[in-house]
Amino acid sequence: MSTYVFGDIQGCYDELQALLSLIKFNQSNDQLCFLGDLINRGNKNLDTLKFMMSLPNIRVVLGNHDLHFLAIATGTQNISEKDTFQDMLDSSELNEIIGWMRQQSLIIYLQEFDSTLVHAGIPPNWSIEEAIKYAHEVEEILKSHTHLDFFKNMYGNEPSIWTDKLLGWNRMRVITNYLTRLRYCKLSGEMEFKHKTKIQPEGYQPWFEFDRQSSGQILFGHWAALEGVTGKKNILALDTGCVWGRKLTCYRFEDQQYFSVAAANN
Amino acid sequence: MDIYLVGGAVRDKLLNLPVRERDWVVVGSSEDALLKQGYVRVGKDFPVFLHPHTKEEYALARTERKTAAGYKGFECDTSSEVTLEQDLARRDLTMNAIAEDQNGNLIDPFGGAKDIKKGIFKHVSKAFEEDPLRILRVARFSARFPQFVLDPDTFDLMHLMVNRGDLAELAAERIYVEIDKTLKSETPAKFFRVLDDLSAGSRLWPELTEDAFTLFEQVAFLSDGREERIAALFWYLDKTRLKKISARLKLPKQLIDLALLRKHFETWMQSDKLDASEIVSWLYGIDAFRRTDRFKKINHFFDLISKITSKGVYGNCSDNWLSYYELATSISAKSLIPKYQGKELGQALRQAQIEKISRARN
Repeated sequence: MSTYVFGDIQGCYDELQALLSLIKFNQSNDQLCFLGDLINRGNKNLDTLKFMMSLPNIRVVLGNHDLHFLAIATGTQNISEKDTFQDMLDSSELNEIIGWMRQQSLIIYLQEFDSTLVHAGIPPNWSIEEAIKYAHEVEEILKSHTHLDFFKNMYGNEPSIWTDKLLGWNRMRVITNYLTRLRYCKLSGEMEFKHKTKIQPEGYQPWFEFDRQSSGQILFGHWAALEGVTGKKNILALDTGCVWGRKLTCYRFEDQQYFSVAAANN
Repeated sequence: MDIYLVGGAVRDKLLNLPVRERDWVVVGSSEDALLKQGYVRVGKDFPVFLHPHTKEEYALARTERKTAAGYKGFECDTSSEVTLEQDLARRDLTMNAIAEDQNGNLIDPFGGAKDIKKGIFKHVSKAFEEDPLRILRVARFSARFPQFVLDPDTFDLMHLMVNRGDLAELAAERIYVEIDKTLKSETPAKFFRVLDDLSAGSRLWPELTEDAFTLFEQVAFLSDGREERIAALFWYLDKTRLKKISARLKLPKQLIDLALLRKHFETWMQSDKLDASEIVSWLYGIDAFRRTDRFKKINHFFDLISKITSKGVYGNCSDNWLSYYELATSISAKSLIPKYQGKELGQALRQAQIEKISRARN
């Protein structure tokens, strides 16, 4: 029995299957974890999602693209030209897909490996425990009728910093932005969203460069431009840009091995 | 005499939620005056009346003063001098302390509408601490309005109340009412998590941990059945602790029936590995043939659990058990009656069921 963690799939179903063959995935023995952005930008979103829903032994944290899909699928947001998940929206199983996604987490802590899974990151002003606690606040909302209001209020870059006095949708937006969109920030936790690339905005650092008390591992996706390099031994970046023509990567906890397949269209 | 709509109805309107029930406050009147107009008194401890036609609840405006421990230790003043503001001041949260007059104007002396807009639970006054049940009520509101958070001062006050042991004076019956309402709410796990944050969870139910809340949250999303939800909450407890907690909280037997059947889960998961006689034993063990609905309920619940915990789904246990059940019930005892009687009939029936399932599986 092995446990694998996958970086962003983004609808790259063929590469996912190729990587599963490479690791000789055994459905009844192996546990698969996904770091979010399961869909969007790639071309086989419905196949990807249906496959995941058919796997019994799977753990998923949601990414910004997954939440964006939910906002569109529930009618609170309009689809944009860049979005490629029309196949899911047209599916007769759309309601099941929405229901399945609303059940997933924003953060998962795996005790047996002392590892935390999150799509984007954990800001330096939060402990792992705090991150889990605040993630629950959004997870509960995803499961309630207020998820529609949440999707209406989810978008935006402000407020850019957490304080525990934040209320209402501002609070939920900061929690969501930290966990699903964070790249650069300050030690205070102030976020910066203009830079997608490796060019570092002045006064900001990648969130994982700040020293953290806990010894555990953090695994995240979201940031393909890092090409899997964080410079920190216990912080693993697993989005290696498959949808951008690079490769799809997963990591096996038991022996700390990485596995990759090249993108089909590279 | 003036009449105002108060409490949950005003709050829910401001939240654009459907109004479930309407409560009214009557200012400048008396019990006699209301009785004369045909109102019927229903409150034993408080002067609450039912409207002669709408049957909605009308209460005389009142003030309360705590005089002794326990929820009956209140002195209540309902003289016609009591103002609307005084009545609103004794309420728990600002969101629940807003009145609406008959022209639709809001009377909101504590800024409840603003707090609703901001999304915070804030206590009206220090008098909040006079009834520790309010801690559970606020936790329940959190489960109902998951986008709301506690005002830091309210959190501190509740935390103080918990730490000085106020919860100990709550009767199990009153706690149960809050649990029961929570079980019907949309995100019930939040109730337990908020109480944990307040260090109240370890006093009320030290047995329950975050693992239990996580499973409970997942099951609650997939099922609104109270029994299924409570069985999920208690899933990780052994029988002794399960019995202890349900006795302590005075939970109705019916509510925990499903939770008590947890021990049958491991065998249930083995549905495709058991031999036919073990299958039939399991079905008799849970009394499936006399209590079909219960069997289906267990099967459904175990199916939920196995899917959430990713256990036992490879063999489609739930479908297997339904088909075993169908096979077993397709044998009629009547056809065996000419040959067997009494105890022998039961044994023969069981044997026939085993053979039938055995044949079907080969």
